[in-house]
Amino acid sequence: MDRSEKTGLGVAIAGHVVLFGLLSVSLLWHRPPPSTHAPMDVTLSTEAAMEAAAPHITQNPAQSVAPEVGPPEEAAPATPLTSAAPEPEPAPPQPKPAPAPKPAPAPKPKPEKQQPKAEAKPHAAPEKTQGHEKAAAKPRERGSHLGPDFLKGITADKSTSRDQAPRASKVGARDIANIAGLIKRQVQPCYVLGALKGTSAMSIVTVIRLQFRRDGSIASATLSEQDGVNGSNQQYAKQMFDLSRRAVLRCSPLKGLPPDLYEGGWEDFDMVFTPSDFG
Amino acid sequence: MRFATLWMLAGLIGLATPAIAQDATMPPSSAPQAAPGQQSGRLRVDITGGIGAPTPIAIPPMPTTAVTNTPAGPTDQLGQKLAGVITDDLRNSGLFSPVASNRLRAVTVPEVTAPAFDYWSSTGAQVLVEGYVRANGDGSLTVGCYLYDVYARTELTRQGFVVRPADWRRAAHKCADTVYTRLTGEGPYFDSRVVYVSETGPKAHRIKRLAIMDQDGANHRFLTNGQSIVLTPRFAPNRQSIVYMSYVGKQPAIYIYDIGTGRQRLLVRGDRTTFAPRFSPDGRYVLFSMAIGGNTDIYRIPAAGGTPQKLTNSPGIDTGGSYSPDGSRIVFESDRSGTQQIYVMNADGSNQHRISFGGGRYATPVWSPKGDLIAFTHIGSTFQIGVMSPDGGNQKLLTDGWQDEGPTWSPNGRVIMFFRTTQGGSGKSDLWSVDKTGVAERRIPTPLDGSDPAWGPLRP
Repeated sequence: MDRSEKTGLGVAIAGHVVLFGLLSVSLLWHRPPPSTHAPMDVTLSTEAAMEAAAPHITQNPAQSVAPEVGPPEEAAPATPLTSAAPEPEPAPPQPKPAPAPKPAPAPKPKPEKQQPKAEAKPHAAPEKTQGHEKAAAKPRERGSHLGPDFLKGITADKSTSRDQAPRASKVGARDIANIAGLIKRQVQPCYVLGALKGTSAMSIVTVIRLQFRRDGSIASATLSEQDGVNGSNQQYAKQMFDLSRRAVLRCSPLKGLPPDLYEGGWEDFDMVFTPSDFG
Repeated sequence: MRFATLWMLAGLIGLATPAIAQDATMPPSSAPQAAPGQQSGRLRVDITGGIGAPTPIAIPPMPTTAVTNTPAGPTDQLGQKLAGVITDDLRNSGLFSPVASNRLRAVTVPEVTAPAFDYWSSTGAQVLVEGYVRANGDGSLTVGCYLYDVYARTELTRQGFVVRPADWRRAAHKCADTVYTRLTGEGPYFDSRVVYVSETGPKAHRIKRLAIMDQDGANHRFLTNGQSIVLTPRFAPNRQSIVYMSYVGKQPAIYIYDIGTGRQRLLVRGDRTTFAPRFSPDGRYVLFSMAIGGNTDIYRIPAAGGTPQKLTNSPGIDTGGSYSPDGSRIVFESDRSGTQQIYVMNADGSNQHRISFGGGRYATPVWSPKGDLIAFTHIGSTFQIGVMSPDGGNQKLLTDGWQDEGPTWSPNGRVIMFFRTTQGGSGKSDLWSVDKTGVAERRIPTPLDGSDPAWGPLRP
């Protein structure tokens, strides 16, 4: 290695050291560009899944939420004005059962009893209302769910709140198609036309509104509408509804439907029964 | 060199790192696309093209409120027989599939109005028939009949029937009719009777007697003694009379037989050959054919007798007239075009026009009591029963025997009875029925051979 080679090698090494230093400094100062998209939740599912966009994110911790308590401004008087007035609604369930029912309903409202879970009492206990006019004239009574840690900043305690909003606030079109396919595959085998096959009833299209429970069982099945009913097949209209309803009742509870897509999805929908293969 | 290489590699990684981080924050490349056929935002499920299988139905024996001896037997045994007749009726319609008897369990009287739906759904039944039998103080029977939707857990209909013990089968038929009507949307037909020609003896010397029976073959009895041949019997709308052709001596003529008195009377006076009679829907007239001078035409005569009115006037044979249910039109067969074909005309004989154009020959047209179809015998290489619309469209052949002919409609226009002659020299014939959709073909049991059935109206 002659002198020139040593010089070149030294320059190269020095250059790399400088380059490394520059890159290291640039990494320290580098900030990734701000994201223009909110983080998304992704659910892996082979059949139906939430739409992979726009999740609803809780922005504020629950402790800072201070819902108002107390009777609403337009609350009805508790004292019945006439005998036809509805009886007061029963109080919410108490933590401990009352030892004995009262012999007669209390004539005056007790607002604090209607909010048994309030952790803090209102600063001013609401006066007992004497009647509708008096209640309407009084300023609106307010209370608060604020806890002792209000305005103390974020604590190390685990939040007791739960975000009740669905993780995806919108059921997408593809989800709807997937759910429809899932349901159709389960109900189709139960659609038995029996005696009506081959009659003029085959032109009657029956739409049944279905409401489901979360376990896939049917809460209600009511006739929404029927199309194609005319003078020659009117005699079959009731039967077409019967056997359409029977089809979905027989093949329920539905299985394998994604719970996340219950609300706004398969909780409440129309099922359209078209007996003819040719529509 | 090795040292330098490592540093260069580290530099390259350092340069590449921001790029990787950038990729991780990339948004999805495309949004989900709406599937075709889905309305935006709301779920809608389309179920298309159902199955035509018979409906599973459970019909357990009917309990009795108190076991009582009646002329028809103890009421507890009657409850079993009633369920049996209902089961046979519904099974024979071809539209229902009764649950096997070994899967049925006894029910109590209180259970009749509060069925154990969970149990019955486990048997596969979709609908359930329950009922009870009670012997009344006046000697009559009360039969209660309840129909339930097993899955909807609802009562669909109920009926009660008070009958004489001897008519217990009619109560069962009425219950079956109640069930059938509610589930199919069709009219009832089980409580009806059939008159037909009972045949026995060698082909060359057949004895042909008029016979009557329930539509299921029960309560069979002969009306004539066989001394003279009878052909083509037809019920009157009032169910009390039968019009038919008979050879008294060697002259064929039309007679009316009164079921109540057992008497018969000649309808058309004279020495002409008259045949193919049939009542009008109101029972006031009888259509028939009469041959005069080698030309056969269709006539109308008051059922009480009188002067015949000629309705057709074409050369050749016009015969087999049958009224539409409203009495405004008549379907008949004619060979005026060269072969037997089906024609329709107004009740006064005007506007005669051909409706059969399917090839082959067509005979014995009969208008359905519902008015929507005309049944006929199609004569090609074999004889087949078929149906077509009154305009000649929607033609459909229903049977595939060697020689099926002589269709007659059930009172509700849903089932067709006919007679089938076996191939060969025996000439043996039986009564058969088939649903108008072409399913549920079955033989009707008769003690002897049978031909020329005529289905009577529903009994009150």
